[in-house]
Amino acid sequence: MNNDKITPFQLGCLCFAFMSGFSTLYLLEAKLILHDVWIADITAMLATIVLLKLLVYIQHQFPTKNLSDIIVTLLGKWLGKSVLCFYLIGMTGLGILSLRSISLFYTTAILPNTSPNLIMLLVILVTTYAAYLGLSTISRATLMILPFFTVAMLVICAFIFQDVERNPFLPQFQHPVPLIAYSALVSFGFPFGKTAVFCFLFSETTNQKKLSKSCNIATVFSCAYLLISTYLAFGCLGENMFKTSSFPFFSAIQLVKFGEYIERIEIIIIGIWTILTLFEIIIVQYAFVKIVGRLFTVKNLSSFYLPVGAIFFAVAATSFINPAKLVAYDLTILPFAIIVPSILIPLCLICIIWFRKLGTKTTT
Amino acid sequence: MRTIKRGVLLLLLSAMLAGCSSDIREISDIALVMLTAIDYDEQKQLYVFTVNCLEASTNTAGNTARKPEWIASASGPSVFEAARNLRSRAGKVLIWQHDKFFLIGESAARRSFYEVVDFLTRSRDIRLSSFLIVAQGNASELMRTRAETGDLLSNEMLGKVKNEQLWGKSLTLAVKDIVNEYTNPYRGIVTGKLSKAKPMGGNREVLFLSGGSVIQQGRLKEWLSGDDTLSIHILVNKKYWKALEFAEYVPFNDRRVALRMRVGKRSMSLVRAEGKPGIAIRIEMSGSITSIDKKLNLADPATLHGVEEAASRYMEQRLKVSLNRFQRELKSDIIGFSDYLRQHHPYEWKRISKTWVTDVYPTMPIRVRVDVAIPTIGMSEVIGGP
Amino acid sequence: MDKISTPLEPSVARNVESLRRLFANNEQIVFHTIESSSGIPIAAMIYLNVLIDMERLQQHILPQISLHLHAAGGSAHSLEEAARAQGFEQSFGQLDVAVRTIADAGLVLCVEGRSEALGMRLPGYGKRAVGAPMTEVNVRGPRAGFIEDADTNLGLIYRRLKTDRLKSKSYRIGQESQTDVTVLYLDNQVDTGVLQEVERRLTAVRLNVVADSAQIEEWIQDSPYSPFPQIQNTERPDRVTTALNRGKVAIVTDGSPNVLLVPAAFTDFLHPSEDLYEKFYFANFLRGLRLITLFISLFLPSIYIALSTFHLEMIPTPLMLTFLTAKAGIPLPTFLEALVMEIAFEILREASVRLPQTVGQSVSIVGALIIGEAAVQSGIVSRPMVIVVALTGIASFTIPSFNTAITMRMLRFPLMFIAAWTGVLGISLCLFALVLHLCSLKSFGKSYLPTLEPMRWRDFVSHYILLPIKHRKLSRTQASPAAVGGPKHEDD
Repeated sequence: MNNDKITPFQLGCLCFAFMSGFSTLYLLEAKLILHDVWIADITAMLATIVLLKLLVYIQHQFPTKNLSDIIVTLLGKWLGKSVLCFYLIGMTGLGILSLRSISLFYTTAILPNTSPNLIMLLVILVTTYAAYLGLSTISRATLMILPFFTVAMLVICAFIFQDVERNPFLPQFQHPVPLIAYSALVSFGFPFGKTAVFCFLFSETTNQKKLSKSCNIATVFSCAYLLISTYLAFGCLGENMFKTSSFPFFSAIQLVKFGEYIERIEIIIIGIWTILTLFEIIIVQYAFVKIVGRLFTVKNLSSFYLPVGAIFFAVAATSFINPAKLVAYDLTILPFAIIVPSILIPLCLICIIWFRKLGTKTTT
Repeated sequence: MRTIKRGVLLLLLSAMLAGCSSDIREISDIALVMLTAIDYDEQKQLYVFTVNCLEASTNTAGNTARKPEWIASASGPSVFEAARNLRSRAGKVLIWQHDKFFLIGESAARRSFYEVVDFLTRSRDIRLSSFLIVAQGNASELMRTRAETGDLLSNEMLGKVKNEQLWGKSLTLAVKDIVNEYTNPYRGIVTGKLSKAKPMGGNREVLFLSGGSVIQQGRLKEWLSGDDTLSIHILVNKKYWKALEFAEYVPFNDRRVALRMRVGKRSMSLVRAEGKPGIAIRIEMSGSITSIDKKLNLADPATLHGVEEAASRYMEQRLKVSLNRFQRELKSDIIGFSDYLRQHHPYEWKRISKTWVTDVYPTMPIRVRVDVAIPTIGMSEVIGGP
Repeated sequence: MDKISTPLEPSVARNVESLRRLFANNEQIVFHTIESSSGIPIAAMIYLNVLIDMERLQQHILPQISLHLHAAGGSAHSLEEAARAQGFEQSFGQLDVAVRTIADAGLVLCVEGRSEALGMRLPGYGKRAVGAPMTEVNVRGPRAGFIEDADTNLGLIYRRLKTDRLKSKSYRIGQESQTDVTVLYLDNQVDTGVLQEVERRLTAVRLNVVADSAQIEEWIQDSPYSPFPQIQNTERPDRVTTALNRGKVAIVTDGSPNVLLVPAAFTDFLHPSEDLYEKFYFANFLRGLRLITLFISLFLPSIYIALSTFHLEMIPTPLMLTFLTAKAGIPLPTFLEALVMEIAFEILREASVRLPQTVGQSVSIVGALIIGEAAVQSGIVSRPMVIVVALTGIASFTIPSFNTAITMRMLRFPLMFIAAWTGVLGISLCLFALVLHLCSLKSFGKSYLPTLEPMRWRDFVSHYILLPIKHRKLSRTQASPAAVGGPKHEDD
């Protein structure tokens, strides 16, 4: 276990892995508005970049402090701690959502008879180990995994691209604005809004000046990845099939053929993709433990990781047992639930900082 | 020490659990389904499910040459139940992952195409890239026909599908494409048609993959002749005509020229004719001359150009006849004009979509313009002379 | 050792007496008394007769000393002078130093009336000649390999680095074995943090007997419970010099032909020194190949198990048909089949290693060809499995470092378990856990697995890819080569 700081480049890679892990799994927003999904995705991406700017601004006001410390400093001990508790609940939600998603995916697509609990248990074991090893190790592991992932995805995308004949994003602007706004919210809720969790890592980078840049690049890349996979899945499967398919991108990958007989290489892709999805759970677990440490002002956190993993597993094992509920949650509750931790609280913090500045100005 | 203990514990745990998964299917316990036929028995209202399996018998271990084919049928009120009832006869676990062909019997295709396709898409075992072919008559009967070459029936079928692009008069779609389009109310789709006949010089009936079957509104609507299927093949999607080669016998003055044609480019656009929306199709083809029935000086640019012109007009005529049939007789948009309009002219489409099937499509003017270029004339050329 | 930290006494007889007591029940100790011309014993020479060069002692040193002694009249002073002329350069006043000198192939000369004894080393034990390395075999490159004698080994290294920047520091490790352990480094290249860490860890070693550098390796490595080797060892002096030039620290242990190199990166274990002697295209091709074989040796059996039991759809149909026939009638489930074959393979490998070379070869032939074929014929295992296991085994032999190869072979088994349990999910989780573990490892404060950041681009690339020599950092000097005989610096 080491507590070395990480470089902004590593943070960017981690951020990409964190956002892109699950983003292509359901493609819910694309199912909602089909051709106009790019508007929604890009809007959500821009919103994320603005949000990141705000959060980086907050971080820059207190360069040495962690976001949890900042919240406590700004909001006072009890209010701050209750806000942190609120974040903890949100993170648990994210964690179990990821766990459930991965087990749902495996039980539907690959291992139909394996118990979802077993899958979640294995996943949580690995993620707990990763979180225990510390941020520096995690980010270095990201650097090892990402090149393989990128190469595999590029090859696959090139092969799927051969199947895409018409531009699937046509006709454009055929959906009413409220619907597009709603899907932008869905898009913000599912892959992008999670960045609020990520800010708890800001204080652990070596060069905080580059924070904003690396996070923005990561966001743009993950949006590009999302758009490319939506485009390809949509173009390859066709509109109706895309809508009916549970995991459209993977259905598209299933169709890739190398020559006449080498088919269904999605298994290999899924292998690498699974690793990428773990980063979300790892980061959430890591940030969770950090916040718990802040709440109880504990210095040595190494004994916390296993209990936190156990909590995640226990909650995940009892929630979203019905897959339809999971999708419904992603579609109806999450887009609105994400607003408070990802938008309102950062805005509040900014306001308080401004008021304080005003206050100090007037007194001087 | 703690690490070691934990490691050992984990190892022991995994050792105990290894092989305990219920998802394991040992290769020695399975039979590969290579072809599936689904029929519908109208009288008993039952689905008949027939599979062509390969399994390795224990006696022939080490002998790779001979693989026993096993064909069996079972029936049931739903497709799934029929498939499960088959298990009462199967000696091994049936695996669908390597099944490349689904034959749908005529009765099933006419009556409940929807359920069959839905069954195919829900199961994760079934490859979305497998081919769906409609059988003329009883599918299971066709499947019981012995392969002409003595090879496995599935291999022979695969060869037939691959050969489609070398003659064009058949077009087989993958399950994926059918799933995407079969519920579309505005258009129809064409997939392969399998029939049985006695070949020339043969006395045993063999399978032919020729012509097409039109599926619209989730059921089989009509059979399509080989020539019409070729027109579809040329007009429909790029991935089908990209590698297509077909033969044409073009009249030129009093001679006839045989050409091997390829499609180079195809584009569509919306035009207005007589106040109605119409479609203009432009196709660029390239041909190479394979034979001429009388002497013709092709080295003369004027003559060659004449042949090109003649071929273009001939192809235009040919496509127009087919399109006319699709519009007036079939009343089914099997080319996918509706998709084109919807994608590229959404506002126009909104206006006409309600009456598309009944009024607009059957009377829509369609202009076809073909440009045939003959870049090569082959290894023989005549200089001079008429 | 505090029991003998007593000072020597002026009386030879008493010194001899106390040494006799210490070396009681030791047949090899020799007390050679030197008498003056008048026959009075004035000195004693003590040594272990199996360690020293008896020939030189009897033919040169003793005659010379007695000659000188008699010429000078036999006084203690002249004896001392004679001894110094013969090479007795050390002098010490402690009994324990005398004992150590004797034990370390030395002669101790106690002179009457002096409380300080004289000592010299005169090693005469047998040692192997410098020959080709046994384990790191190269097609091209120097043939010399280290032997069990530290002095010879140090000589081999010093011969290749003719610079004053090559520094060394010696330690004695092992309470009983008193093994010389020498740390070597180039002071302009070495990372002082690493050097201090090496020093700290070496002084902390608590060993009774050092039989080989492996024990020191085990004691000083960062994560003793990790299956991965974290310290490189080599038999090749050329490899040591290259490593020293790259800022590593070499640890030479007496009695071991393996020199330890720290800090080590995971990639160091995958590249033999020969890489540097080949054209870089070819060397990089081989490096790529070895990365693939590394992957194969670790994952192939588990991937085979996963594919043939969980993910049958991934096997191409024609291959599946072959598998179908090949697997028909095999009684074992795939996982057990793989396990049996892997264990059988390990048995064969172990047998051929332990047997003399000529017999070992026939064992491997009998094992591989006859047993393998018979097992297939009799339907115990299937042909594809034999191919998989054989390929895995051969792949693991291409890894140049023996300890890495054995780690890979060992890790293969848990991977097989997990693959038989959860298929590709288990494999990818294990792969990830492995990557995490490798990322968390450190070798003397340096990252074990080279990753892009916080490393610099060039360093990162040079861990995996061999650049052309002109672009290789640390292989070029700034100045043009000095004329022969002039000073030569191994600058950056």
